[in-house]
Amino acid sequence: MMFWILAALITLVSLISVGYPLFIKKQEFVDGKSYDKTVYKDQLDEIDREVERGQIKSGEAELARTEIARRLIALGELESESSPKSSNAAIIAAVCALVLTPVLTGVAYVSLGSPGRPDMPLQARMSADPKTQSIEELIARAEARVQNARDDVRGWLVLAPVYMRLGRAADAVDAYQNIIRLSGSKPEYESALGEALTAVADGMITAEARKRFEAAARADPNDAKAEYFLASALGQEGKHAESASAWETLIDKSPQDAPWLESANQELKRMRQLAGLAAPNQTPAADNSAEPGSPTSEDIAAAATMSNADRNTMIANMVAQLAEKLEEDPSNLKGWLRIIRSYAVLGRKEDAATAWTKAGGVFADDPAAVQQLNALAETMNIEVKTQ
Amino acid sequence: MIVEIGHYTLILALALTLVQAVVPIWGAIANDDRMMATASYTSPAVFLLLLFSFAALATAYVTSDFSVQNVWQNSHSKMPLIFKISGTWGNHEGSMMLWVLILGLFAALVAVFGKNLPPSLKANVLGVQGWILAAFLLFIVFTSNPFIRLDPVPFEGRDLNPILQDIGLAIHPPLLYLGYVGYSITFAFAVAALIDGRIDAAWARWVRPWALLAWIFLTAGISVGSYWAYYELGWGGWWFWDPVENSSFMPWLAGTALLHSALVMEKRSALKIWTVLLAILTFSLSLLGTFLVRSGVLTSVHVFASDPERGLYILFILVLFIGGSFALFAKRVGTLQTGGIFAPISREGALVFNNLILSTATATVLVGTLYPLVLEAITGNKISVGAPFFNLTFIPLMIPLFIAVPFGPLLAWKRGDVYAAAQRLFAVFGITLLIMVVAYVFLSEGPVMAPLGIGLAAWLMFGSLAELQLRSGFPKNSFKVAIRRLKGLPRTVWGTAIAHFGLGLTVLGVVGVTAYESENITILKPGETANIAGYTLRMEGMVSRNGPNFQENAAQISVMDGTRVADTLEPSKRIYTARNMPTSEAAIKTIWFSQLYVALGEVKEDGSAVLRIWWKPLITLIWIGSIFMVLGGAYSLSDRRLRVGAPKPSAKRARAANATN
Repeated sequence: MMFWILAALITLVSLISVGYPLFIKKQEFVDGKSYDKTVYKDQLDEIDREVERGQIKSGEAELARTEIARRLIALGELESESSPKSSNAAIIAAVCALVLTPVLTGVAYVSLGSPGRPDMPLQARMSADPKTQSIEELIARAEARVQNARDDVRGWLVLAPVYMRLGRAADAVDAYQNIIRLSGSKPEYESALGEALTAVADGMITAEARKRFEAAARADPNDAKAEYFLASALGQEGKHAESASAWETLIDKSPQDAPWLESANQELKRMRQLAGLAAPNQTPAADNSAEPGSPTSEDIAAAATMSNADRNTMIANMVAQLAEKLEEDPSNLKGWLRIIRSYAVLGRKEDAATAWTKAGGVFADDPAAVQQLNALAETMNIEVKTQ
Repeated sequence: MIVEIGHYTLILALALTLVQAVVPIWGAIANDDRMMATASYTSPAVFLLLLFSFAALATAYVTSDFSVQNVWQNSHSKMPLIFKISGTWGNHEGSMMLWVLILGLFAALVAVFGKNLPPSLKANVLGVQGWILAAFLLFIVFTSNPFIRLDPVPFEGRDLNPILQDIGLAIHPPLLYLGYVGYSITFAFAVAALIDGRIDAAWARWVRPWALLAWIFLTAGISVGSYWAYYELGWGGWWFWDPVENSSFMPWLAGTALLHSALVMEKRSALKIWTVLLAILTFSLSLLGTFLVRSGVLTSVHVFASDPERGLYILFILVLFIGGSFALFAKRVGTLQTGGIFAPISREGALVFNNLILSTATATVLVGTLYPLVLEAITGNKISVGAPFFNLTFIPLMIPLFIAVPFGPLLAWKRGDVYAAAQRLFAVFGITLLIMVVAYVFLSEGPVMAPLGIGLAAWLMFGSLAELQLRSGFPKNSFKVAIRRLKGLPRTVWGTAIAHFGLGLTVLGVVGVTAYESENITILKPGETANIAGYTLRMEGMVSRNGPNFQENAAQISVMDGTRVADTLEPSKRIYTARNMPTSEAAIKTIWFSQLYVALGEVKEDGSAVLRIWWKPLITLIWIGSIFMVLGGAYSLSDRRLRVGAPKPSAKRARAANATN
């Protein structure tokens, strides 16, 4: 309502600019020629002044005066303008303008605008009642507070796990680094930072992440998260036997209902297989039916319950496993196609290109295979460096 | 609610503009004084409404109100305040808002200060302004409305294009628009004269200052844009003959011609029809420039502004106004009185020469800009008309013009004596020759033509000072008398001299950087050095920094003076996080009028970096020259006297006049 009152006021005031000259103001009649006369007279005066200052010679001034005088005379020969009349047209125009202006404005505005909708500046949205705010807004509020007080550890402690949950791993890394900077190194912070770094690297446990896990494990030998990722790291590096024993240690230590037990068991089984160790209750031959690197139904079920970081670790592990298989048996075209696609999806462009080149070498004599490889390279946008 | 009120006032302004487009012209035809008078009241009202609307949009930007779609698309809460403000016009919708705001401002100025205009002329001028305003406001409200709201409201904006996050954006578009739109006034005057069928003396008195004002802003706008492109894009070039640049350069060339022909018209009542034509042409080229930039026909840095569907509407505006005004010109030109007569060798003649060359140059640039577009549309072939075409066509046109510049002010009105003028320029010619010889002897490295270019610049600079020297009577008169005479000179004489001197400076800068530039592209590891133009640059290492909304990776480079570090340059690469868009920030060190320009390329993991290093001799003179032109124009504009060009008596008459004295 307030909006429409304001709008109406503005409209009324604006319409004065139409109504005032049309209805109220008396116009004085001035012949159009008199404006020209004024200009010419000003010019004659200016010539006098210039002569006074010595800027033009008297001969030149005389000629200029003659010219202007000639124009003045020519002006006098023109017919005088008829004095303007106030016609009925003015009334018609006034009524049309005064009626149509508000009507057109109103119609156009109602169809295009959002009448009366309040402004929503960021500041106001930040300080609104938290109950009415979305998660995003709440996070942004916390972020704003942290940005102003980068040395307040409480803000970071709230934000860090939220970032991990939302998949904003890079922000989580920043947050955990700040926590460690402010409150010193603690095993749980170190391993959480390691997890965040791993998530940033799409499940690859980088040297930096590994250092963090090792620091955590040194300070607290029972830090399960650190042990979990360190065991994975061994697997990613291809140290299958060591990885298997690390998984065993973790499983032994863990309580029966630990959430990581399931995927730990999976990994243990896989590592044993890769290392050629027999599983205590399973024959290695049983698994050969499945294609290497393809997730079993158990893997998929496990993946569904995992956090992002864990899931990415699992994917990275599977890709590494497939790569090893292909090293042993390069004739597996399906395997090559899958690994190239996986690398591309994971953003590991160089690995994808390398694998593509290798596969191309293997299947150089098989046109159908080459065609498939080329098609894949095109769809996945793999840039292959020609040597 | 400010946003919604802003939206409402925008639409109200449109409705009121329609009144302004119809009632005053109707009044002029019906000879009704009250209807004619409405324009003087509605124009300021429209301007105030537009001002409020623009302020509302700017408020939404400053307060990061992302419920406004336009703000959400082009702003970010963490941008510095200055970029939040300049971001208001750093996008298509906002820049159109700025355009109409300035259009409204100029119309309001005519309404308020145009008391000495004949009523029918004033009504027609403001009516035509009303048409232009209405066309652009319709365009904004129905195709580019900046006040569309979003629901649900996004939490963070998508950020302003990083290239535009620069102080250049705060300055360049407003200046350029003040120029473009300033020519709408001269256009409105021209069309009004055609509607009226006559050109009053008051007409001439009004057109020159407006043409000059628009020219000042356009000169400043183009020059700021050029410097901005130079330091922001990191290619080290200051002019690319890029179609978008050309589309602002064409109105400048035509506007420069208009400025000079309006001068003749004001002082001598000659060249009237030609001035009307130029006024129409100049604004048409401004509209064409707007069309090319806004429509997406061209892709360039200004790509934020492109949208094919909107282009169609602007094309419609273009056809309506250009076609309409030229048709009107063809129909009504016969009713206009031609002005005074003059001999071919005279000040008027010199200005006609100036106009012919500038018009030809405009046509050249127009062909070079449009030919590739037309060819692509017809045959599908993409060709690029770049610097070689313009060097071969534009520059040869400019040389005779530049040679003629010093002659112009020395020739008398109506009939002049070219030999007398040449004699007066004898000393200037001597100085020029000397400078050319010196340049030839001492600057052995550059191309053979370079000393000739330097000579041309010297000719322009000293030639433009010649009029001052002659008018002061120095050294014939004593120094004191000369100073007193100089002080007494009309400001327009000073303005001309300063602006022409600036032109000489710009030419010198162009010649210097074109002929003597050197470049060094190199890979430097920390501790390694590179040499250019006698300077040694040492790579110290890379540093990473976080800005408010970007991450920056900068190389630290010491400029060595012997073994001492004279200065540190930090060229950098930035990633703007919101759009994940990289930009390159060049580092520039100005040494006198020359510049050392360093841009950072690829950075390797071992800390070595690809660096592009340029030595740009005298490059700043290009922009310093344009500052002189702007100052000269402004000083000339401040001269509000009525100006008359006193003709020189013919020899017979002069004798008669002497005899009677």
